[in-house]
Amino acid sequence: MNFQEIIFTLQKYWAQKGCIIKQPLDVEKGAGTFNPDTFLRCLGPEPWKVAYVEPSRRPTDGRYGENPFRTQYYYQFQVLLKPSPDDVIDLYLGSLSVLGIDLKNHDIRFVEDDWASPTIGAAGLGWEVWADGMEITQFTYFQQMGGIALKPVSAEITYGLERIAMYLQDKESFWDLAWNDEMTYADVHLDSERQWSIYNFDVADIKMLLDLFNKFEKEFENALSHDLVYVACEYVLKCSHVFNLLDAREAISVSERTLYITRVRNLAKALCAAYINQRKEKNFPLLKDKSLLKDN
Amino acid sequence: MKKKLVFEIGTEELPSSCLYEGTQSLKNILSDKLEKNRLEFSKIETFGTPRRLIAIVYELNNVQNSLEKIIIGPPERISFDEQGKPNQAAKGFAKGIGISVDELEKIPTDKGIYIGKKLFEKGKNTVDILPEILNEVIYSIPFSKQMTWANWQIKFARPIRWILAIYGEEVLNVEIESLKSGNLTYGHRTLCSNPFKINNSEEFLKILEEKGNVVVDGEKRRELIKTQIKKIEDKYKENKIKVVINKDLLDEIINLVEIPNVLIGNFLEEYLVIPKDILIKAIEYHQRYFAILNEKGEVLPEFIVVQNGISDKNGEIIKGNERVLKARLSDASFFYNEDKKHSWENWNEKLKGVIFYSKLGSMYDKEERIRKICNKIFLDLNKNNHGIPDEILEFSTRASMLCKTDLVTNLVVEFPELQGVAGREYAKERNENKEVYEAIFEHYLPRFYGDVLPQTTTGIIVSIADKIDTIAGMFLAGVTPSGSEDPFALRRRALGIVLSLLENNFNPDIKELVKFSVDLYKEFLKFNEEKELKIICDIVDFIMARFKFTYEKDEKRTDIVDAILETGEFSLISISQKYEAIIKIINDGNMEEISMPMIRCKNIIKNINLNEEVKPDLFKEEYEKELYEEIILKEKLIKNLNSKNEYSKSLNLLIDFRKKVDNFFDKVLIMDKIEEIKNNRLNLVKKAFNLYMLIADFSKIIVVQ
Repeated sequence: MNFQEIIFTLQKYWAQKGCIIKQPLDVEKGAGTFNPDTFLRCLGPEPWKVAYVEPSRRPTDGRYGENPFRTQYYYQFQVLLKPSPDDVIDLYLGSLSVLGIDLKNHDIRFVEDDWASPTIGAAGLGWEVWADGMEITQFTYFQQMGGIALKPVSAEITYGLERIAMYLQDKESFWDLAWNDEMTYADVHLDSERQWSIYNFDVADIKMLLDLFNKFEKEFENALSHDLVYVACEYVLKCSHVFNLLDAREAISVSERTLYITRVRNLAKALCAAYINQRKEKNFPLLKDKSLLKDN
Repeated sequence: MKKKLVFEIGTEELPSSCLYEGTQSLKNILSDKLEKNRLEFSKIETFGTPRRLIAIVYELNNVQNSLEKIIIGPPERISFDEQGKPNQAAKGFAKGIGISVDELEKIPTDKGIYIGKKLFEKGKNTVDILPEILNEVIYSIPFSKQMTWANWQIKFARPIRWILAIYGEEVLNVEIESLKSGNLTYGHRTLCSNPFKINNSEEFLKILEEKGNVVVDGEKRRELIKTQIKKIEDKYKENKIKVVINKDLLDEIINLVEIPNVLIGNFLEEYLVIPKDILIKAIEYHQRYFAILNEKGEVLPEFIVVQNGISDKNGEIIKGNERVLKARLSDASFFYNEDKKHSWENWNEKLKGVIFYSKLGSMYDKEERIRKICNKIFLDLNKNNHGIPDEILEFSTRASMLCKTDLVTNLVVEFPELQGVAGREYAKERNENKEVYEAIFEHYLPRFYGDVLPQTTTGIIVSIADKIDTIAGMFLAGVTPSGSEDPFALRRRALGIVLSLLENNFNPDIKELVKFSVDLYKEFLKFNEEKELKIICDIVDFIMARFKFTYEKDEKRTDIVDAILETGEFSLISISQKYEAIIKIINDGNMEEISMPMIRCKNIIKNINLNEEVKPDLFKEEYEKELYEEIILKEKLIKNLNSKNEYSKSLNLLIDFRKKVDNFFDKVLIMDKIEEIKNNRLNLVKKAFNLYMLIADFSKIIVVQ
């Protein structure tokens, strides 16, 4: 199964399971979790089921295209199920089956891996899913977002698309993966991976980035003061990405690091609180069973 | 009639640590609740797999024991008025236990007749009360990390997905929120897709194991793994290979599988250039594999993986794991080779950017402090005639400045577990002295309770210095252990110091060492003298508490340790030698010869502030003069004996001292009319007291008759 077929298969599978299929958010972000379809929608009592591909940027993970499976740009396939269904693990295993993994002849393991993202005040418990020793998925029950305890709890399933493809195609490097039947992953991404690695580590203008961080932070306040939570959300992501770039440029000392993380977290907290308020004012329109409100 | 109860909490994959916690709590809580509910049983066993916690209660009575209880109230004579009617006392009592006065009975007792009530509660059927008990059990199991899921309110280690509860043949109805228990259980997740119906409690384990492919007992899974590994060892290479079974790893692996199958795989020989200990860790750490050695103890290009299943019939599982290990080893060897390009100076420069703890400087600063403390320890030890060669000072200085350096190497950044190991291997490669490279590893010891201690002299000194420095820093930063919270493992560190000192007969003055270490932080933190004194005392108490802990564990007497500590003795070896000497006196039955006169002195001078010198020209009586001269003589002798650690001889002198004290108290009136003489005599008593205090405050020693 080539790379794009994996995406099609997962999209179709999760669409059949009732997820809306969305497209990536056009803002740089470190993971699918930062997309408001997860970041914001996991808050409050309203149900939500969504699946989307998310290109994710982690500047410090760049290796100039020389490492077989570490890159600063890669794809996640993100599924958010809220509330977490009782049969969520079976649903997940079903998706592996449609990808052609014969569960009886492979060793699928759920290995404890509790997840936390201090930058957005998020924490959850769950697993890395291993297929014959290879980590192919991160599975998390969100417990907290923006410092707010979540009820209901969502299940987040994050597939590492390249790793699954390596596993399915029996390849030892991202770069050798078949994107379709003619082009490889290297054909599609190797040049840009090299260029971005150079930019992230050696070229990015530190002064500009420091300046941008301050400006984005300010613009966040501006947007939020007008109750524009979706706009404000993107400025949190921009701040977070600029911080990651500064980190890659080694422009931030250890003590400053904590300070920057706290600044982003404060934005995330304010954002999450504002989002919940806004939905509450609208009386949580997606929540059909209003009796559930009593539990919260 | 007695029957078996089976109770299974089916979950999503539980972390290994939760299995250990869960099975233990399940056993304790369930047996406790059954006993409280007067349900007799012969024994309880609990088991855990990644997907379930199971309790089996054997020979559980089918009815609850009846309750017969007599509640006794006031005596009959005060319970009735003159007309023989129940008075206020009787009414109050009846009301208190919820019955009317008419129901009160006369209860004869040894002390006469009382009023009261005989209560009899007939035992209920076990099946009627079990559901509520089991429900409470689920809610009571504590986990150190808990979660919720969906709209559920309960907190558990991972989501609960089914509950099976069967008593004999009866299916019990236990409800947890929207989940109802039943007689269905699930087998291995990928080997059996459909649940199994269980008809009675007797067949449960058998069906689960035979049809469900689940080995419920973790210890049995451990044995299966060991047996299969042994088979591989026997089969391959004519029994000349040895699988490295890391116990912690095995403890975890038995809880990652419901049924284990051991597979052997290969990796490329080119990775064998990685130093042995680094290679083994790289094999074990992320992937939970076991490494294999040949007869010479060299790593072979093969590894063991334990699969959660029964076979790898297409060989795909081992192929997949080989690919993953290849990637890990390629990472490790890449980092190892990258690290070769760096020098210690280079790394130490980087170490300046690694924070030890907020406001306590960098890891490089920590190395500097360790170096200074090592120097201090070295000088202290040699002052006490330990005869440690001068080169050790040189080695410990070098080791101090390298011990944390590997934290910035690529290898340790990638494999944090390699801290100390990477440093040692790199130091070995760079031709450091054996004392130095071993110390880099050993200074982290002990890593856990019961771990080995450092063995090289340099390792011991650096280890103590590092631990004192961490404890001092954390106390200054206000991060001290409380209750079960000890995030920086300060208790383990303090215990490490204590054990190393005792094992090696090192006798530095702990208080001085702590003060020295606290002072080194003046460069980083501001604190006044008052705070400094308090912190020093707190740290000394903290370390002494660990010292006492080792005594308690050996069932030794901590009252004696307290008595010695009272004198301001802070050298552990001296304390333990004094302890042994005192024990000998106690065993010989001579303790009172010392403690009685000392208590007598103490009682006289307590609450009086005395700090004047005794003036011999004010003596009027023979016995006070004699006592004085005896004190002067013995003080000199005891101090001399103490400096040679000959505490038994010192104690014998104190036994001998009694008669002079007794004579003084019996023959001399302390409270003289002349104030000056009175005070002089009190000061003399104080001086006698202080003589005892050269060894211990014997008044604190509990005399066992």
